[in-house]
Amino acid sequence: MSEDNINRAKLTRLAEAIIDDIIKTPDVDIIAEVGQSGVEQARTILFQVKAAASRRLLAQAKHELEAWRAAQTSRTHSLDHAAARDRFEKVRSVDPAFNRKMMMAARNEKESTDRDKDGLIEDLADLQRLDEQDTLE
Amino acid sequence: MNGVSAAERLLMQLGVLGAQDIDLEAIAWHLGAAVKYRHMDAADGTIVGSPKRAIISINRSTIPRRQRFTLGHEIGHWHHHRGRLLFCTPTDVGNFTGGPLDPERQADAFASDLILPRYLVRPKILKLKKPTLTFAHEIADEFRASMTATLIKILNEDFFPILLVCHGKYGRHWFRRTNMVPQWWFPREDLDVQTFAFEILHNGGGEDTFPRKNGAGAWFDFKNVDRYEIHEQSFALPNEEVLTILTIPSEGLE
Repeated sequence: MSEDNINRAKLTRLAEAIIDDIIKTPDVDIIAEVGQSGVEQARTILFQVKAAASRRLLAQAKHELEAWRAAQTSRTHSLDHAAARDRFEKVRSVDPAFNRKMMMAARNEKESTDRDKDGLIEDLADLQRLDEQDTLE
Repeated sequence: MNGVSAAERLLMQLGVLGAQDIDLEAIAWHLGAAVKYRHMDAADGTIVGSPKRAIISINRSTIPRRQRFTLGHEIGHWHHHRGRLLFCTPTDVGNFTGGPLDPERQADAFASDLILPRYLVRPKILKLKKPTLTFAHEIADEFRASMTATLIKILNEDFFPILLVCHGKYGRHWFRRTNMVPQWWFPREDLDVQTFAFEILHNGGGEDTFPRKNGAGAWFDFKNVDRYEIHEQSFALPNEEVLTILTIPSEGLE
């Protein structure tokens, strides 16, 4: 273990000991030491930290989504339409409810749903890429 | 309606403290779903999902608030019906006629709580003296929600003695009533010529600017209905429909 890591481990143990000490201190002792307003202040800080941590999750999601979209835009389209269409038909054949719905939609709209089918095929290809990306990570 | 729904819990976990924080695309990504927009012929939204990931596509030919509700609806499907391939037509999304166990209605309820979370909307409703379209517009604009979804949210709070009634040219399409209104306040199938809503539906009016008093007999047909006066305020919906808020007088609640 390097000198740096040893010092970091010592610091972590010290921080844990301090937190442990605070947690074990009875409420009356803390109130006597810092006063009721100090407790309220700590509570407020705790809520703010929690809210900030929560908002960071959302900010991180926005950032990752933008990165994914940028990657989609710059990606050269290598989608094998025949293979993706096969996959779509396979999914469709084992899902009668979905199949029925698409057929009804086509009848009701009195127009072709080819564009919708092509979109779903592309979505399936995107989904596969997302799953593969997760596996790599 | 009490308690925190799954959609509201999710918003709280993500530190959402105001309408402007409700970024549905980021929320979808947080849950593992990427959102795309494209023109569609017969669907408003689709979702293809594996066990962990999903691609949600939204029909960009519809108006922005419709797209937003559809996205909330598809996130609802991802929450309730994960791993499926779903094709949601315009009649599946935001259709207020189905029962609570219908998967499309479950997705709608999720969307409603995601876009109009009770913990953010309720404090605004509680400050209100009476439910008007002006107030509903304010909420709908702030949360980028449809007027219908907003009014249903207001009704669900059970804070005002109101009904929402939707009519088309050939009769009533659906209605909702708050729990505080007795069940004998059951709206008529037809839209009476004496109602102000009739004018809006048949003669192309846009919206009543304020609630207007009318005899309850124009809307209901129970015994001695003529003893009561109600307030009505209506606005035109797309597809030749009219939606009306009916406020029941306090003496009609006993």
